[in-house]
Amino acid sequence: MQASLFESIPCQLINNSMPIKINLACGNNKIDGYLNVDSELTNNPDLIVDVRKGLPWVDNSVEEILFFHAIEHIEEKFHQALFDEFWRVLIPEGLLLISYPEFEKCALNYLGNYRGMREFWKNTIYGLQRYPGDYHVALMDSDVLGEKLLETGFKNIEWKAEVFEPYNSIMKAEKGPAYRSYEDLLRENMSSFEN
Amino acid sequence: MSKVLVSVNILDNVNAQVYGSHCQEWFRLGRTCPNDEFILFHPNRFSIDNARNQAATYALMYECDYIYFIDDDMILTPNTYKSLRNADADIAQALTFIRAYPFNCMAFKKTEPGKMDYFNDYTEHINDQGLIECEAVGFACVLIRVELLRKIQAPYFVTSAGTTEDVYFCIKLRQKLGSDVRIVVDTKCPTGHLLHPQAISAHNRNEMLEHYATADYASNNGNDRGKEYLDQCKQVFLNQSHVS
Repeated sequence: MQASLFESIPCQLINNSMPIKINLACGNNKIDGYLNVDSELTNNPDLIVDVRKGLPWVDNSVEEILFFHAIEHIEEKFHQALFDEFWRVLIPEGLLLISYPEFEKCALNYLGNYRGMREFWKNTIYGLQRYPGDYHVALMDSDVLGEKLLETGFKNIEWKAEVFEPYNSIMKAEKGPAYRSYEDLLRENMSSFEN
Repeated sequence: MSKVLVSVNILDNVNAQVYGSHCQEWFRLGRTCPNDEFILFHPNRFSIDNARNQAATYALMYECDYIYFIDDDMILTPNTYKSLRNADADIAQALTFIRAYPFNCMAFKKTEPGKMDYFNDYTEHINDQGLIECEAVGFACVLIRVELLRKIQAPYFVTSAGTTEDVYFCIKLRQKLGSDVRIVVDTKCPTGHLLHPQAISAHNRNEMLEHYATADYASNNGNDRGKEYLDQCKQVFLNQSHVS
């Protein structure tokens, strides 16, 4: 599939006939059976998308989203909007998989010079910094991330250490019903009371 | 009789294993070298180059014959001092490895004019006395003749972008004295350099190298996140995990 530039069709959302699976911010890691999406043309993705500007799919059209070791490269101010977009495009109970370096583990390993690899642990915190975009700009804490996804409307949120690199975490979440705040619930109850 | 300034730069606190090892060394200094006089200098929270320069100043002030530098993360073979004295060199290091992968030998050989490399193939260059002639050494555990300080200008130890303060000292000496300064590594008194939590030494370096080379920490730069990685990620959730 030839890469197309999403920004060339800013007002038109992609409407798939069947739910699709997306490997978002794939880099060089293409996975068969997934739409491999990235913001960099040089990675030769199936589709070029800058996730900070939103996702180009209609509501409830995506079955699965993979977001591997990308969230830490995106400034925190974009995170909630991104989680809202994930929720929007996923079908009910659609799967979201996010992986990231677990800050607490990386920091403790750095401070303790674990295995004598201080430089390595520093890179897990700040990124390898080989080129623009190769920097880690957000601190990832599973407790905080889980809380944010819950408030976004995800359910069955779980996280666990990666098998071969246990200083990284992988979080799984399913799209649940839209999150309703306490005020929303009050409003609903009041309106039914008035009726 | 010799006068020796013994200097351990303590940055924050000292590991219990290291403390025990150093206590043993002090005991043996007293018991086995009764004719030598030892001055203990333990600066607290100095940068390493400042600490070494201060030690050099005191060694000259007190007209010492030697400075015995020991880092605060070094575990010593008993009687290291005696072994280093018997090496009869200007600078004698107790065999030490850098405490970070790939655990290079803390000694340097000359490769071409103006260039040095880690002396990792040192086993092929051990002479009959168990010594290795080097171009430069690190000062994690080293005995140096104070006479050297009178042949060059202060500051003697400078940390820079290109070198550590100990190698700087050796290079400065080489530039001034050339091959007239004798720098050796003594393999008869190998040290343990505290890692986390084990120490890296001549006895376990090969095993540690093999372990670190095969572990993902050393070789994986995190780029392999394809199908296999996806399968692993999904697999972990079949086992018990943190649930919210």
